[in-house]
Amino acid sequence: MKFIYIAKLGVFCLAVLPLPWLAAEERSIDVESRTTVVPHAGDRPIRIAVYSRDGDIEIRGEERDSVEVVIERFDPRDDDRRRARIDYDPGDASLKLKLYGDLKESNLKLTAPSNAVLQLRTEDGNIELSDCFGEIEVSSVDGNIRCERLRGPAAVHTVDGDILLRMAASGTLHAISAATVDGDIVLIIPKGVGAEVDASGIDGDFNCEVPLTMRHDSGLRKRDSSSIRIKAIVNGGGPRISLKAIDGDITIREEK
Amino acid sequence: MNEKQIDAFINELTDGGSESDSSDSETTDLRKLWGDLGDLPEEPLSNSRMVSEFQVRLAAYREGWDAARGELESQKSPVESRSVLRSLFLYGLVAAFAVGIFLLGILSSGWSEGVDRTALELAQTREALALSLLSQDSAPRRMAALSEASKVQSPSRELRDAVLWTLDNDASVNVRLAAVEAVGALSSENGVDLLVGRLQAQASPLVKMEIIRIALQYGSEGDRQALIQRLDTVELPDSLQAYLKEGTSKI
Repeated sequence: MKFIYIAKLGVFCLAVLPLPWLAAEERSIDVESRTTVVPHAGDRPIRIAVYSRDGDIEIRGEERDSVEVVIERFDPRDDDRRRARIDYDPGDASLKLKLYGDLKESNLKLTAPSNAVLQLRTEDGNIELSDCFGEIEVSSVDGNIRCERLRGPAAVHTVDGDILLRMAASGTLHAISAATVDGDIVLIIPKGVGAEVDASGIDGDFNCEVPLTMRHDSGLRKRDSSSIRIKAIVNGGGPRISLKAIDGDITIREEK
Repeated sequence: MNEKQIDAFINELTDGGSESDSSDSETTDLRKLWGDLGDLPEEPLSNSRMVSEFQVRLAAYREGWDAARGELESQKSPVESRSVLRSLFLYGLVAAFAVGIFLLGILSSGWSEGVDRTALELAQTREALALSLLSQDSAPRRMAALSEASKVQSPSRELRDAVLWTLDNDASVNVRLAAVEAVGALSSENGVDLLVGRLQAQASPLVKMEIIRIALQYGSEGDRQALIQRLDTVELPDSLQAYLKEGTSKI
């Protein structure tokens, strides 16, 4: 009899113990309308991963505890334009948007908590972010990348596209890396915000409207030179901003 | 002539001979002589009297000397005691300084060991942090890891391998760009070889450009010449060839 009780207890434990784990299990949300709101009330910043094959991605950060996803081409009546899924894992604080069929070519608009960690990738599309203070990883092929009021650490890369980085008025404490092939880079620094600029490039001009204190330099671009190699301090120094361009100009401006 | 007769005779001489005959020439002479005696200077003191007076004066002088000396000693003693105290203080100061230097030596050796230990702990912490961040999903964190790794003075084999693996395999171009600089900073001896060996395999022209830049930056002049020779065998786009030539032309 005792053995039966112990066996029952064991079965009960086996049944109950995985419940917390199951509760935090990834939730798969089938998108049923053009706009979907996913609540996120966790303490950890949500990590958002979005991939678009042929569409623009626009993300705006604001104080909120949910993520709003707008798929512009979504049409519930069209089989090719209503297949999308959002994988949300509250335990891991991650959200992944998956698009199928024609929606892979849709433009996307997201509104997210400003501290969200962003991983955005597009082919043949532009990416625009504003007021996003979390870690940012953005890459594009044949598309421009524009980051407005950038404050967090960022890794930005594009091929055949321009990059514009406008730092937040408060500046940033984190490193920023921007690299492009066949495109220009424009960095806009608010007045008085410090940084350590490491710029190098081939087949492009270097323009700087901000006073630079050279640290390591093989010289500003010579007349007959096609390369840029500059390490300089802006406004007394600050986080490192790495700018790499091939076949493109690098410009540093001061916010007016 | 007894004593009374002598006194009477002297009285006669001094009184002018009232009791005796003054016509006697001898007496007159004597009287005159006696009178002249009064004009004689005072008789010098006898030796014995001089000696006794000298002794008295000497004794007085000694007393005065002793008194003066005592007074002088009583006046000088605070000054002398202060001087002694000052000397003692100075000797003490020198001794304290010597002891201080000795203790400082002991402490500094202990402090130096402490600094070394702290530096080692810092390096180990930095390595652990770098290795931890390198395994993160976020590209900015991996970049931060490489930045931390670049600051490690004596990197472990594990850290070097992790950085090289990142350079070879990371999906993010930005991270691979950061890895190039980290390899140059970590592997001062063979960093250039490691980088040049990876030049051909890298797909991104941005990473190739960075490899050339860092190789030229960290390499010695000999390395640069070797780099030029080695790069002749590597197929590079024209723009990168020009970039390399510009870099090496500054030697």
